[in-house]
Amino acid sequence: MKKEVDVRNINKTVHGAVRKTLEDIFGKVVASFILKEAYLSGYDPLDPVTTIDKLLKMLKSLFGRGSIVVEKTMADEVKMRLGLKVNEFKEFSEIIRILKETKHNP
Amino acid sequence: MSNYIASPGILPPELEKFLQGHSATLLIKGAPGTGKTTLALEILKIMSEKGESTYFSTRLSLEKIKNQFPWIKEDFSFERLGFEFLTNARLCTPEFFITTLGRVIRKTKGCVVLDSWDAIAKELDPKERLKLEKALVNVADSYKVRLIFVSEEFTHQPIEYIADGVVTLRHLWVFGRSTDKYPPLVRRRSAREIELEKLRGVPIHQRTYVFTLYDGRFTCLLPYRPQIAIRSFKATPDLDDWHISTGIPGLDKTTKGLPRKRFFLLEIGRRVGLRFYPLLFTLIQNTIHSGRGAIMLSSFLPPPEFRKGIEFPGINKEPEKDEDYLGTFKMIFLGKTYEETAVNYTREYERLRHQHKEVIEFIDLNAIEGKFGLKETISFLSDAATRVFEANMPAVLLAREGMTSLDLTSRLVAVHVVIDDLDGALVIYGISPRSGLYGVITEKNRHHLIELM
Repeated sequence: MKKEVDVRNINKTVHGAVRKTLEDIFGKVVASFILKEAYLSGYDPLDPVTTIDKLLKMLKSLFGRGSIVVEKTMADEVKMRLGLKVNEFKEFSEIIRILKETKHNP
Repeated sequence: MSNYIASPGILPPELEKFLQGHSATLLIKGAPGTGKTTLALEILKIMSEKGESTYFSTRLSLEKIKNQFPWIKEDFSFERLGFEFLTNARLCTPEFFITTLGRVIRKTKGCVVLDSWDAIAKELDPKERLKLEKALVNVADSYKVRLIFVSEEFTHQPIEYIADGVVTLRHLWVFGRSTDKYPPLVRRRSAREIELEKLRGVPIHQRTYVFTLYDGRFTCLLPYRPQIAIRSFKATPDLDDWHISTGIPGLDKTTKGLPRKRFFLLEIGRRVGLRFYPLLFTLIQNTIHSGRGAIMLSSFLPPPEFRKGIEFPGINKEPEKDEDYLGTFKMIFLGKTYEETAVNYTREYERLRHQHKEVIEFIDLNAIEGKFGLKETISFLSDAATRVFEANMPAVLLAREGMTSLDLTSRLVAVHVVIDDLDGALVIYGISPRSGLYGVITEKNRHHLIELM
């Protein structure tokens, strides 16, 4: 997997997937609001892999249990963009963990 | 009139129950000027007692709100309410508005009113708008914040499916169709109505209620139930040398009271049933507590719940010692023939006149017409006209809507007042002299009229 992924573009790809998912689900206005709020609480669009937990926390606080669906959709988008096999990982946090490893040990 | 209602601000019971429950969002729809802002502020008043609440206005400034709704200065603490007036919302982007709203929702514990939601939502394309509304409802659910959307759009909006509750406010033309000419047009009045379209989790027993915006408050008229028990009735003094009080201040103001030497006609609408009796008995109470005699010609004795607090000598009980100053009330029932009835009535009337210098007659024309016909009704009316003129006293005539003799009677009377039913509430309006529409409410064991405006 590590060889298939362009490590330099991981951050860009993950943030792109996050933004697209948010826009698909909530529309541009709300997506922009969520990203703005997440940014204020520590999410960095330039380093989403390390700071994604801030965004997920923000989503959980805003939408409660509804955020699980958003998280799963986000995970699917990231998997698709990175060319990962869909059934390879179950949780978004698992993907992030792998991406973190990839980032630090390309 | 301004002090007649001690506790204005009444919501439909179903809506109140809805607001006490766990549902998060309510959509208030209605044309301009129907009372959406007033209702929203009324809800805000209730919800602000539970936690910090916020009001977003895209139309009114704080000063305008204070002027238009003076009561909120006394009832609300603006600091606690956290008022946010985005008067220039049309100039700011939806993104800015949503960012502010999102932050407010996250720190508010009570209620957030968006007045009006259209101003923002119309800037978005339909798909974007739907997504935004879904997200807002979701966030409000998550933070347990009440979100009140105020909208002027009448077409079905996606938010109607998403919101937990939908209410519509509207103007109504009542009693006389706009296409009719005289006489129905003289009955035409305007009123406001709230329709409870959807209140998730709350059974809707009555879908529509009449309401008024009197004194800048949203006051709903609940269905009238006869519950007046006048034990400590104090008579209202005569209004002037020519007018005797009805005992109902609002009715005195509307009609100028019972005119001496003239008839006072109370027309009862078809759907009122017997519910007018408590009002009528207030007039009778006022008469006997003024030391006058009262005589009523009727076909039957109303059931007990309609005559609470009024003593019928020989029927209910004898007046107690401390009530000796009271006048006498006699109820005469229709006899087998018209002649027998007329003779009996006149005899009792004369007896009362010996007892009391002044006697007010209460004549149920419907009973006479129903039993003896039109000719006898007119004959009785003619005799009554002579009596009231000679005695220098008024007479109260009772007529039912649709009676044959109503048109003729209406031409003979000085005052023609109609009591009718609107969504279960009792309403009153004057045909002569013409007056606006008033709702009958009971407060502190007295009847009051509140202007429907």
